Amino acid sequence: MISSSCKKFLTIEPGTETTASQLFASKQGYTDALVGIYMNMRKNYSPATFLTSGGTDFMAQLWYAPATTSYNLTYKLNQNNYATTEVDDTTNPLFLNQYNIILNANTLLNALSTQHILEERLAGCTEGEALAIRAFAHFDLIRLFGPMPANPGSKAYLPYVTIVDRNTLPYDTYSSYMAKLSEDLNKAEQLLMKYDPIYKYGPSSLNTDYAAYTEYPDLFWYYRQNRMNYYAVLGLQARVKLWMGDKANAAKYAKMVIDAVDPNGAKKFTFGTERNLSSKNYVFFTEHLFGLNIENFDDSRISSGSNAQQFIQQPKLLSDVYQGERSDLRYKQLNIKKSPFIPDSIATTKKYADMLQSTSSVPNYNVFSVPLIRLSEMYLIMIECSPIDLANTYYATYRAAKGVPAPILTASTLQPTLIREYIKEFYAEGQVFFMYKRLGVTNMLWSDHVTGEAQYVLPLPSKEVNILR
Amino acid sequence: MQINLCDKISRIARILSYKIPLAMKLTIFILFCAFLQVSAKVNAQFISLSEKNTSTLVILEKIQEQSGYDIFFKNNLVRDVKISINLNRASLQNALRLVLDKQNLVFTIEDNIITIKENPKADNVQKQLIEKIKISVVNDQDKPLAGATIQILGKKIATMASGYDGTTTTTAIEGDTAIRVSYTGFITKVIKIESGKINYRIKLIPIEGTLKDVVITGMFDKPKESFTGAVTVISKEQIKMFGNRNLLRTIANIDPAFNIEERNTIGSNPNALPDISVRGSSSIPSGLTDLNNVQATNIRNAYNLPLFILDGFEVSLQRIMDMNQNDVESVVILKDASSTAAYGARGANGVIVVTSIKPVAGKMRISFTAGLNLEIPDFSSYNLLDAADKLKAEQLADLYTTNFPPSQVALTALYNTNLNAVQNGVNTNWLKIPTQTGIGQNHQLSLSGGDNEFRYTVNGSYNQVTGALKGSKRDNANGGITMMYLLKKIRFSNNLSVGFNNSSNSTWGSFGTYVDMNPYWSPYDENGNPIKQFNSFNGVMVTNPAYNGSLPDFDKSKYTVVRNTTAFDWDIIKGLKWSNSVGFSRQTGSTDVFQSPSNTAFIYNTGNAKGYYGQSSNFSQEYQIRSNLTYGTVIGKSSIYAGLNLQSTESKQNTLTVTGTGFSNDKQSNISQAINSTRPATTELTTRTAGAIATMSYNYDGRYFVDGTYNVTGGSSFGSNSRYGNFWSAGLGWTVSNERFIKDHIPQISMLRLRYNYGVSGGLNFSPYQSLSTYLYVLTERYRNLTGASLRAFGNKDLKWQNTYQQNAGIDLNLFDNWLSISGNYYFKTTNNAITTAYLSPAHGFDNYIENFGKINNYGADINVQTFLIKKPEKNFYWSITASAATNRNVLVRLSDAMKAANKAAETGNVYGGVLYQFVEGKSIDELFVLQSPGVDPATGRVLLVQPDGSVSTNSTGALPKISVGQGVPKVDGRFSTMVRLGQFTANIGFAARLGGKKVNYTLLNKVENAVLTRNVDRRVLDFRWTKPDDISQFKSLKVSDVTYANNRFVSTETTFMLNNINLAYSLPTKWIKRLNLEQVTITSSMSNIAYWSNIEQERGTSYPYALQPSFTLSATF
Repeated sequence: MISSSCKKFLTIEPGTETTASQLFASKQGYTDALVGIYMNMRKNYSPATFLTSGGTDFMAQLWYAPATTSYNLTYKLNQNNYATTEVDDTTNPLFLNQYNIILNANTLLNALSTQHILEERLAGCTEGEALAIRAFAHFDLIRLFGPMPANPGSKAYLPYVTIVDRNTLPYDTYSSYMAKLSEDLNKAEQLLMKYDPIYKYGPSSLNTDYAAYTEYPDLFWYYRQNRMNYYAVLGLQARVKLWMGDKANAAKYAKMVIDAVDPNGAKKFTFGTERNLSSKNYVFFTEHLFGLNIENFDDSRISSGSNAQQFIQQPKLLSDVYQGERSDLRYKQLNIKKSPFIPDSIATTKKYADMLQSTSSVPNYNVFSVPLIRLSEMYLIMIECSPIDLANTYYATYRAAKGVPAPILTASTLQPTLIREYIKEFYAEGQVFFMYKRLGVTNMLWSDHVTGEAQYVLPLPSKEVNILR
Repeated sequence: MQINLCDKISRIARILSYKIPLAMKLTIFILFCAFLQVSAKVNAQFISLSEKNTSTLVILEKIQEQSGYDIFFKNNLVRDVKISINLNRASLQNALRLVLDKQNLVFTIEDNIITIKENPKADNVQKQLIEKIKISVVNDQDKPLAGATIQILGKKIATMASGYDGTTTTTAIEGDTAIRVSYTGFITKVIKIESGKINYRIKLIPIEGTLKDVVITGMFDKPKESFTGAVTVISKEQIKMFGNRNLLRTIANIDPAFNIEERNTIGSNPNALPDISVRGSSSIPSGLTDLNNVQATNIRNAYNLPLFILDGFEVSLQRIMDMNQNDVESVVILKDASSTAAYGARGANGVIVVTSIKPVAGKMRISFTAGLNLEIPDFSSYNLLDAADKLKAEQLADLYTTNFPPSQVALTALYNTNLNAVQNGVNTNWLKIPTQTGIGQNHQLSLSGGDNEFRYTVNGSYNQVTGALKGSKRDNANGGITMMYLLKKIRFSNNLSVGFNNSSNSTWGSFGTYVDMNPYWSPYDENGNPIKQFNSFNGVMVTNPAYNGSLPDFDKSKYTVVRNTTAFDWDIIKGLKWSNSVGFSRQTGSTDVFQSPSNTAFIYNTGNAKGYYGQSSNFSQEYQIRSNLTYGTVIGKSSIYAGLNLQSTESKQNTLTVTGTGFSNDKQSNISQAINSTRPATTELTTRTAGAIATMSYNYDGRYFVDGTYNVTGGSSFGSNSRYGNFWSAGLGWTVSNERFIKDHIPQISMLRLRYNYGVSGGLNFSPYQSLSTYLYVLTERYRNLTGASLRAFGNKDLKWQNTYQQNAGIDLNLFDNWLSISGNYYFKTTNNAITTAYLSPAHGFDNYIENFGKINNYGADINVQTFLIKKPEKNFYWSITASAATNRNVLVRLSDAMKAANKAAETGNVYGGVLYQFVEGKSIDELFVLQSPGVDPATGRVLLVQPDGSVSTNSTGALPKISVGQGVPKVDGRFSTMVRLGQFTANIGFAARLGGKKVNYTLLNKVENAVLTRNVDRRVLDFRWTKPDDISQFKSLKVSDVTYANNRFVSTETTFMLNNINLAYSLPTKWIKRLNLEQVTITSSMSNIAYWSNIEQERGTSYPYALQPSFTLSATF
């Protein structure tokens, strides 16, 4: 008894911070810890960060980075030249933040494994989301620093971290890494199917600032599209399976998302429309399986606005990618203007424009969600993974939604068409580089150099390497 | 006048030492026993007796019993006749008269003592037989006791004090019966005066269990004879004789091992908290923020601050600095493992134990002190150019010529303006502009007194220090009440003290900015208004720092502290004592800094950003509960002391800071009037400890002794996996001088003791929450209406206090009957799990965490020698000399990779005008790393530097290699003082020396070599800089504008001597003051920071000037 009262006496709760044990002593604490992880993801997944528009999009040649800016990070990325301090200075915090997301998820999962205070559905949903976040964060790490998925070899690339421990972490080979990742995703899928309100109700009816359903009285259960919900996990499953070359399962998961209907029989996720643009929903929120909510983002100096740093020459974009189709909805998502820097007209994306709440036009209809997994990708996966006839059906639907006619795909036109669609679709969303890497494309569009394994596999950041040495 | 009351126990001693007839002995013995029984109803003023045919002596005995008074008379004076008496509530006087009148005897009553004498009137025979008697007072070890109170009973004004050698002489007349001798901590003794005996040697026996040559460690009062630790004890008298502006400086003046780092920038700023270390540095910055700041700030010593204990309780450095020195009874510096092990996790940096004065019994004693202190700015280290020479230097540096003709007009105009000013006699001594002679005062009043049961002290003091820089001051008002209530074996005491502090910093700006000002500028215009800016070269406007002095700006702080300690002691049986105490302290304070919109700092700010207000309020609270059980006994030749202590502490600190910017005008000086304000920032820290300590010492035959301490402490800031720390020490010693062979053959050695101890204590110098896995809420954002929190750092559940293993070998030697005493120590200490930041691989989610990793060694020695040159008690003439020296070396043995990387990143950097500190394995924390420069190129006047490839060139850019030139701390830090006492006059002079440390002469570097000639500079600029080709000069050309970074040309081995203090005291002769009913009147005069001689001639007090600090004090006791 003396020792336990002594222990109590010597355990102190700080005033301006909260100890883990105190946090996980209340229901609210679990919610706060989970939401904290999403807030943490803002470091790596906000617009203009490495994983959205500021890094991998340069590596995929999507933005203009001329030789005159050779001292810049963007030029080094554009050249896929990673052995430079500029790249290392960027990948160090990227790597650390990504694993910090994982550490926070692991700490929460540890707490969940021993808790007795949460109701079952809250515990299950929290666990499902945390597992899915862990898989999501790990997946982007292996896509960047891991091998070409077609030929992974047996080298240990990265640790798939599921523990909180300060001892040296063991590195996983690609196969063991992906096995752990799939295990997390499968478990998340099961849990969320059971507990996620989005499985029962449509996403839009859950996007409320108040408790719209009496059975879900807490705000925790709302805005599921900004959380790792059940369909986000399905979408991520599809993305992962495709990465692993498992086309059948990729198509299976993509179809599950495409076919999902709400209690009224309406599709849960629908394509963005032209009307979205006029209401400043430039990110096509109805498509988001998972979007990261951001509160205040000023894009004026990045990819929209007069001082945009991320732009591409409009003529070559129109000819090489849009093939002259100016009526494409995605073309309308672009800002075309005269450049102060180069003779050509330039194109920037409006996706993240008007996200600065304080200065945006009033009323502000922007939905403040960074698209991380979208319905369009599910269609592209269906098209890539289905037999050619079925692919053409999906392609027709897809093209119609974009406001352009669909040419008939053949086995030989499928891949070049898909590459163009990915580029059009994912400007400033960071996915195109991974598509190139997955396909092992050696001649990226607009690239002045050949891309092979050295260009697709990023070296580990120096801090990680130095510690291991 | 002061009369101490007899202690009850003293009666035993009195009886045993009396040479009086058996009957008398018996009588007094009975009286004594009776007294004990009725001691609860002392001072009964009424006597009721009904006796028939009873012996007079028996009746007297009964009177004594009822009154509670002591009755004294000469042998056979009272005839033992039988009488009858019947009294009912008669007064004591009447009762005595009734008994004594028949025998023609008279009596006097004074306090509790009745003295019976023959009636001088009745017997006209002159009995004025005068005897000159000499009384010498010694303690149980035959050492003289100076200042013992001696009283001839029955005389009104017959109190005297034994002199320095414990002796005094007095005249006894016939009729005097007894001498009473009392001394704090000893049993009072009464000796009968015997006819014809003129020499009385009175041995006082210490009151068991208190003050019997003990070492006060703040936890236990350990017997000194069995103590193996290294300590420095500073007495009240020493504090008086080395007295300085604050207690910390006074301690440093006495013991060089208590090291206050000299910080040239802060000078004599009364508000600057000093950086203190005891026996070197054993900590390194633990957090990355501090690690990165280590270059810029003086953060290193903050980690090595010793622990301060006031009356058993931990207090802040600030509180010790603000204490009234007159309230201090003693200061003990605990340095090694044996003395600090009891403090466990807090003790590794040393412990300073301050004991405040305790009330003594006696008539009410009032003491009053009034003093005046001055702070006179000392500019003697400044050697600046005057206006004419400054202009000449500017011309020599070609500042007024340019190759760009359009600018020449302006430069010529500027030259003419400046020349005009010089010719008109403008030669401003800018040093005097912000400075003043600060006049401060201090007053103290204390009352103390009481009797055997109840004693008290009430004191109040006010101490005002006005700094040498205008507007800087520090005022302290302290008050306290101490009460003690003593029962037979139980003692309650309560000490309540309150302190108020008000301080303000100068708003005149840094002193250095005045040093820089050109003497041909005048700070005020014809109307006496300050000028805001001066025209300088190339259109640059230089702001006048004095302008801000005229503004209503302020920078003030205040705090109030209340401290209460309640103690309960119980002497269970002889030697066994149980002490308990509860301490509580609470401090609240605030700091307000206002810079008005007119302040020159905002000249280039927009309207909304002009003006600044920073406000912070702080609160701290500590409590401590402790229970102590000690036992000491002597069995045959063995003496044993054992102690057990349980205690727990809690400390809380809170701060709240708010800042506002933008004020409409200078009058709006309230923070609520700010246009913008920041989010309030709060900090909160709570720590708790709980611990148990056991200590034991054993002494055999006064010759061999061992001691040991074991401490187990739990701390809330330790990781949850290592909540409890174990600390211990063990020591052994040999009092060689108590061996027969020394006693018989080398009697010159009065004392020789050898001691050694080894042990471990800990350092808790890390932020209390560093070990915890804590979450921080995201305060400024939400996520779709939800709040979120994420991990702040990678918690380390195993984080521990750092352990310092320390060995200490010491010797204490007294020679020639204490004419010469030497005490020395050698120590080696290793901190092998110093708390530091370690790297984690980023895949952990954080790339660093706090870990026990570093290893630091410190070794050194200290010695103290004291000798009497003159010792003539009969003339009250003494002259003594005390010298002490300390040395410490320090080596960083192991550093974490994070530490090395932080160092590596900074290694090739240079600090303009300073030295880049580095942490390098195998080197000291204090190692100086500088560039290598063989000199100035005689051909070009440019600086030659060693390049990365080893060649020498004038290139000063790129990563130039550095060499270590040695440690910045002195090899030997010494103190030397001499004290002369002649009659009523005492003088003490204290010197200090710093030898062998490597120092950069910043004045030569910044004000000569890198002199910015557009501002005022050191005079040496004109004399020593390179002027033409083939000049062999120490300093580069005036025309070269490259920055010279610290290099070996500017490093010297320091030899510095300082005259720290002169204190003079004069006590008015007793015969003069007695007429005024005063007991003691002393006039003291002291002077601090008197002189400074150094081979490194540099400007001292760069941000705040040094000041000469004379003070005059009058103190009186009555």
